[in-house]
Amino acid sequence: MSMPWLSLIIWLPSLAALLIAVTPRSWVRLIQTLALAAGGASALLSLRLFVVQYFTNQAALGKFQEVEALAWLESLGIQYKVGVDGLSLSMMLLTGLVSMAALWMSLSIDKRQKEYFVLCLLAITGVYGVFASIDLFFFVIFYELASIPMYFLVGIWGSDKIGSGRPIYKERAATKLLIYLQLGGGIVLLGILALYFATGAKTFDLQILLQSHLSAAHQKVLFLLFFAGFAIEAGLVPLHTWLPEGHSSAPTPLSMLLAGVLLKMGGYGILRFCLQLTPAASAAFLPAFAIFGTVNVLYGGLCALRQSDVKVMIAYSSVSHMGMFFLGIGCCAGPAPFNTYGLLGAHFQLFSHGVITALLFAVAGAVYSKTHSRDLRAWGGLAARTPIFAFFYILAAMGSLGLPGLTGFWAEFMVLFGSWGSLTVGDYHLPLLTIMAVPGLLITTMFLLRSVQYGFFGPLNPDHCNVQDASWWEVMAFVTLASSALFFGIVPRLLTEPALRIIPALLGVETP
Amino acid sequence: MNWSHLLVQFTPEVAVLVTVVWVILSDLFLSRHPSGLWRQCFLGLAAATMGAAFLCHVSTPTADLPLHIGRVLIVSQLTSTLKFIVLLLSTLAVVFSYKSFEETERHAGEYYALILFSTLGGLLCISSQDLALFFISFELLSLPLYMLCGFRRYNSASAEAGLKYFVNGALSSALMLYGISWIYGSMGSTHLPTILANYQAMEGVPQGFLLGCLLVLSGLAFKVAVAPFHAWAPDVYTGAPPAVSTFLASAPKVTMIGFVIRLFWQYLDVPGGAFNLPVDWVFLFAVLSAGSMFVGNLSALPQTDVRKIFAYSGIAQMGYLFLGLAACNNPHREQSLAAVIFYTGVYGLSNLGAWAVLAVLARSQDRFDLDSLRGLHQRNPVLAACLALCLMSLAGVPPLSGFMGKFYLFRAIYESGLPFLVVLGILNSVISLFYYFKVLKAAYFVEAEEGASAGPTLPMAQQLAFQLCLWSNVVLGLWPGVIAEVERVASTITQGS
Repeated sequence: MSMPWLSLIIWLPSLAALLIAVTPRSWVRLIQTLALAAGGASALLSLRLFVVQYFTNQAALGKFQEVEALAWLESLGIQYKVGVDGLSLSMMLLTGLVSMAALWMSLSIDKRQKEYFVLCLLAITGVYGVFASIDLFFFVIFYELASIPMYFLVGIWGSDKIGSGRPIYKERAATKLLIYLQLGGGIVLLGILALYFATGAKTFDLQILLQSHLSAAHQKVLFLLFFAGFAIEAGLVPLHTWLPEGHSSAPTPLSMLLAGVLLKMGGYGILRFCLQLTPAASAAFLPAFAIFGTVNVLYGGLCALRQSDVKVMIAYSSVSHMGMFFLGIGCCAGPAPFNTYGLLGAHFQLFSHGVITALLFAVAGAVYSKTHSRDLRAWGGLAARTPIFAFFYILAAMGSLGLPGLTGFWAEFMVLFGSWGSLTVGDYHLPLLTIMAVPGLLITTMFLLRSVQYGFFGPLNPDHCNVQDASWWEVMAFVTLASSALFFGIVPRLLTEPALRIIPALLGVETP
Repeated sequence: MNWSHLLVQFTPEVAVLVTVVWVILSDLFLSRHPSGLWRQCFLGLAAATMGAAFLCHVSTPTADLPLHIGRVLIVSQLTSTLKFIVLLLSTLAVVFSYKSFEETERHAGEYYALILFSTLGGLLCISSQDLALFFISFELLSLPLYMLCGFRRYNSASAEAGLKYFVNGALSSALMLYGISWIYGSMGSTHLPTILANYQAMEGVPQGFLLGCLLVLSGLAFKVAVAPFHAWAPDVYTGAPPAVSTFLASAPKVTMIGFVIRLFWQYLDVPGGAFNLPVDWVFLFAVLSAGSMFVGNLSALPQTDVRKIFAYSGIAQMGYLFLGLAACNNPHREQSLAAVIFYTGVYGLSNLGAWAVLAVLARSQDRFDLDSLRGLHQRNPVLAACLALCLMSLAGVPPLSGFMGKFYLFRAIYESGLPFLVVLGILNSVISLFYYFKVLKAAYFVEAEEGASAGPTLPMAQQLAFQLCLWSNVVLGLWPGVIAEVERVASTITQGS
């Protein structure tokens, strides 16, 4: 009997949450150790999963591997079934990296640690489960397990944005986040029910559902339901308003999780449900939605340019970067090599943005906890006192604006390359959206460099003469994220090769 | 005649009857000590619950009863299951009302006797096979409730609640009795199977029968507080002592739904049944349920009194249940029925758990605005956790029981060809999150004030009962065995008829 590695990855954090729930609340050190051990074990196992699958099983990644199934409610066709394929493999790795870094950063949490770690670990289980589940019913359960704790985590441990501009209160942000995510989840649930009855297979098993042929009308309805639900999660303008508020109000580790993996659940959902299940409808609709992607890039960038609060700025940069994802999947109807590049870039962007934005949030949050200010202008010249923060912030900013050598470059390059070739109007080749999106890169560069300049260079703010540099656990978090951004930026094929196995299925070129 | 066989079939009723007589006599002659009376009441109800559980387990789909009893009462797996749910809820309600009436300790005996009488009425309601017996047991269920609502005589809100409930309840009883008389007049019997037989033998539908059915339905709708028959509910639930509301919001509602289920699936929705009356039942139930969901959820949004929020949430929850009744055109009838039964049980337990927190808190505080829950997670973590899980379950958060119930309901509704009702249901679930989480925000987000009282200390029985409510949300949501069992019970009804 082989070990159920995948289930171990998913359930270890929950097991730790259960143990923590019965630990006395004053044993903080034990609680932290348990959480880190479980999160670390899951992260290492997801790394192991990635390595094993990449080197020994790569050719088979077009289909689900390491499938584990357990009968649950047979009369309804529900079972517990998990597995990974080329699409979810890198997402599992991403979850491992970001959750590990977030748990390191969580050592700074200074109140109600017991509840914090229970909720945080449950959310991590939820995220792993979303990426790994093959059964759609369990997909919904994991989805909610990932999003409901966020309400409490943001509302209790978050921080308010007061200062210049419109204030953002954490309780309001938490409620908004809850309602938006649940609305998205509800629409997805409706789509799943519709799918369940449309195929007539009376099962929630994705492997079987993928085999069935949906009529064009069914595909359109299903596509719209899934797209609406997941676009809320992925922050498509104009459904994005929960994102800047929620991400900026969350405590640091949660900002990392929200931007690093929660947002990716939406992107992953679109790839998995819209593209893989309803390829014909995707080809009809997604090029049109690429316009929204361009709007995302420009609007998010312009909003970020106006922010003086560093966390709000990073949150808007997420809006901008998710625009690249939407632009990438908009290529799916294009001519042959370009559509692959577009999707590959979109998928790469999920990983790249996850790692890099998590790093940005980690540094920003760590500086906030030392200076008690989120206002960039109040930071002023911190590089003199805190070279570690400055180094990692600049590294992340460079990755975010697309410096070659880091992951961000490859994602944007592939998306723009794909969209240049594949967006046509009638017979004319018209890369209008690409041309419109490119200034977005310039805007990104502007606001990131501005933040580096205001925050870390220039005269030192006299209030911050005694600011401490990073603690060792913060450095652990930074190194985890920065090294993966660098490593996969240098060897991007590690991420693209597995994804290439599944992309024909996403494009509907080859029936799975 | 085999008396022992008969006694076994009616174990729950007999146990409750013996307990109620014992409690009254003991109150009169032995001891007036509230905790002694509480213990007797609790033991009797627990015995009845176990009896019902035993009956669920052993009974054949329909038990053979002597003719004169079988004419008015029926014992089947469905009734035993419903009785088990009702008795479990009543037992828990009694546990949570322990020490709630210390200042009126002279009346503790009456309090428990009234709850027991009401439960007995509920049990007979579920089993009744004849409209006359149904009406009598319906009154036996209702009259004690009016008194219980006004149990704090010197508290004006409580007295008002009692009176309001009485006036509205009397109206609903009158409507129902009027309807029954129409049915009797047009069908020549009050015996349900005879009515069905006469109906099938008849050519054309007498108008009086239709009128009677609608009147009985309105009477029932009054009792379960479905919009537009809900106006009494918020005031009554707010005014009544929380310990009474705990009972009122769970067991009687489940009883009524249980009777509706029986009426619906055994007599209306059978081949040649009264379902082909010139009324679109699906439309009727769809309107009732959609109206109830929207009225309940939207009215709950601006409320700041937790009791009012719970009352409106109860109205909305009834809307979800009626969705299941609208799903009667499902090709797999047993799945609609199973969904309704499962959701009824889930609703009963989760709602009871949420109210129970207020009932226990009422021992040390009078106000129940959102601010009064402040810092509950510090003052009493078990209460806060119970509140959190029960409310999240009612809101339909996976993987808790409420989500499973809703999912199961929505699935049945979708299958019966009404996807737009699923859209309404999901939309309402999202709306309801806002106020459910508003309560949780009050309990969890802010720290308790310095020197805030820790709240009442809970006796062991209540602690265990809270744990039961708390974990039932998780277990019913994650353990598929319960649903499989409910489906089995449901299939005995749909195949047996």
